[in-house]
Amino acid sequence: MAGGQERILRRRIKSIQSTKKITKAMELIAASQIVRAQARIAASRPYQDGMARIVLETALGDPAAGNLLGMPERVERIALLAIAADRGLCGGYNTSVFRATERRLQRAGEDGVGVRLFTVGKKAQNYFRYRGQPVERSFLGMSDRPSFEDARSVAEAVLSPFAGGEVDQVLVVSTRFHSAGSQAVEERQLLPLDDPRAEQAAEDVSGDGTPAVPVRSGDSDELRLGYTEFEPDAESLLANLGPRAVESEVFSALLEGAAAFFTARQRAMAAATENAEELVKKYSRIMNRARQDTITTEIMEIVGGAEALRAGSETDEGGLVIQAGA
Amino acid sequence: MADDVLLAVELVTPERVLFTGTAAQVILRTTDGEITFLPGHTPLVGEVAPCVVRVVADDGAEVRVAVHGGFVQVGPADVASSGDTVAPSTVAPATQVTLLAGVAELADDIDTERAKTALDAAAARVAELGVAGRVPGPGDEPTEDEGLVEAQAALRRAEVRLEAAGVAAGTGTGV
Repeated sequence: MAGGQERILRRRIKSIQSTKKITKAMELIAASQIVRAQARIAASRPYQDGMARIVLETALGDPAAGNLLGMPERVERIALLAIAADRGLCGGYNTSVFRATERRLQRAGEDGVGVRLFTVGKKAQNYFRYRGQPVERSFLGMSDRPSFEDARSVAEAVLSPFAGGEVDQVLVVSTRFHSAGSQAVEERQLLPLDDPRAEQAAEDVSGDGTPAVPVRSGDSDELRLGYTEFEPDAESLLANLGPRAVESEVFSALLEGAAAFFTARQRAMAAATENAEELVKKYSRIMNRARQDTITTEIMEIVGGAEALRAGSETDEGGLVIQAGA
Repeated sequence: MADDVLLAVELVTPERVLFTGTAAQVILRTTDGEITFLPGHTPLVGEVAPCVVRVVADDGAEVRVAVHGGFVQVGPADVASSGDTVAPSTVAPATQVTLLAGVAELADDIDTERAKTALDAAAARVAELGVAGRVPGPGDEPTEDEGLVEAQAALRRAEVRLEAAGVAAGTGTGV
C-alpha cells in the first residue's frame, strides 16, 4: 500500500532530524572547546619559552652537553610516541596520525631500526592492537583535557628508555595546531633535544638586518658566556633540565593535539549537520511525492467509482424508462 | 631606560603565569643553598629546590609562593624577558628573574587544612616505610626505596605548602 511508504519516510525524516540536533549540539560544544584549548595553549607558552631560554643558556655554559642535545650519531633503536584522541567523530584527525605513524614504522622496518611504540588515545590503542602492532604503553583519558601531570607521566615513559640507553632517539607524531584554520600532522624529534646553540647561530646569521633581533644580541651572548653562574654546575643542571624540557614539549604536543581534535570534530559535525539538512530535504520531497501519488490514486479511484456509479444509474434510469414505457 | 632598583619577576608554571611584577628582592633556595637576588645580580641559571619563594616588593610587602622544584634564570631584562612585555614609557627593571616550576602555589591559594592532613599522612607513611625499609628484602628493596623517596617528597611538599601559608610546619612532623 502506498501509505506504508509514506509512513516509513516520515519516520526516517524524524530520525534524521533528531540526529541533526545531536550533531549540531556536538558542533557547538566542540567550538567552545576549541576556544578553551587555544587559551590553554597560549597559557602554556611562557613556560615553554622560559624553558627554551634556560636550556639555551645552560647549553652555552656546557660545551660538552652529552647526548642530550643535537642529533644522535647513529640510530638503531627508536621510541615513537603517537598522539591521537580517545574518541572518534572527528573526521580524519586520528587516521592521519595513524597513517604518519605507519609510514614511520615502515621506514624503520626497511632500515632495520627497532621501534618501541607509545600511544596516547584510545583510538590509537585500538588501531594498533587490531593490526597486531605491539604498543609498549598507551595512555588513555587525557586527550581531551591534558593536564601537566598527564604530560609528565607520558614524558617519563619515553624518557626512561632513552636515559637507559635502550633507544637512541625519541620521535613524536602528533597534530600541530598552527592556527584555527591550519593543523597538520608532524613528526618531530623529542630526544635528543634540539640543540639551541645551532639554532641561535643560524638566527644570528640570518637575522642581521631584521629589527626583531635585538641589536646587541651578539654582544650579550659573549657577555653571558663568561659571566653566567650555574647552581649546580652546567652539566648536572642540563641533566636535570632535559627531562623538564621534554615534559614541556610533550605537554605542548598534547595541548595542540586537543585543540586540533576539537577543530576536526567541529568541522566533521558541521558537515554532518549540513548533510542531515540535505537528507531531510531530499526525503521530504520523496515523501511529498509519495503522498501526492496516494492522493491522486485515491481521487482517481473515487472519480472512477463515481463514474462507474453514474454509468450504472443511467442504465438503471434507462431500465426505468423502459419499464415506464412498458 | 633601565632601573637598577627593581627586579622584573616572572613566576611561570606549565599551565599559567602565576605571578608577574616587580620586586626589590627575591629569596629562594637552590639545590646549593639559600640565595637572594637583588637588582643587578649577575646572570645565573639555577635549579630551585622545593622551598618557599619570597618575592619582596620595595615597600616590604611579600608574596610567598610554595614552589615544588623548578629552575630559575636571572639575566639582563632585554635578553631574558619575552620581548615587549614592558611598555617602553615605563621605567623597565634592568634585571629579570624568571622562575619556572612544574608545580607552584601562591600562599593565598593554599588550603591549610588539606595541607595539614596531607602532612600527617605523609609523615605517617615516611615513618612506616622508614622502618620497613630497614628490613632487608632482596627482591623488593628498590620498590620500597622508591616508595620511601616518594613519601619523603610528599612530606616535603606538605611542609613547604604550610610554610608558605605561614603555619608552623613543625607541629605535624613531631607526631
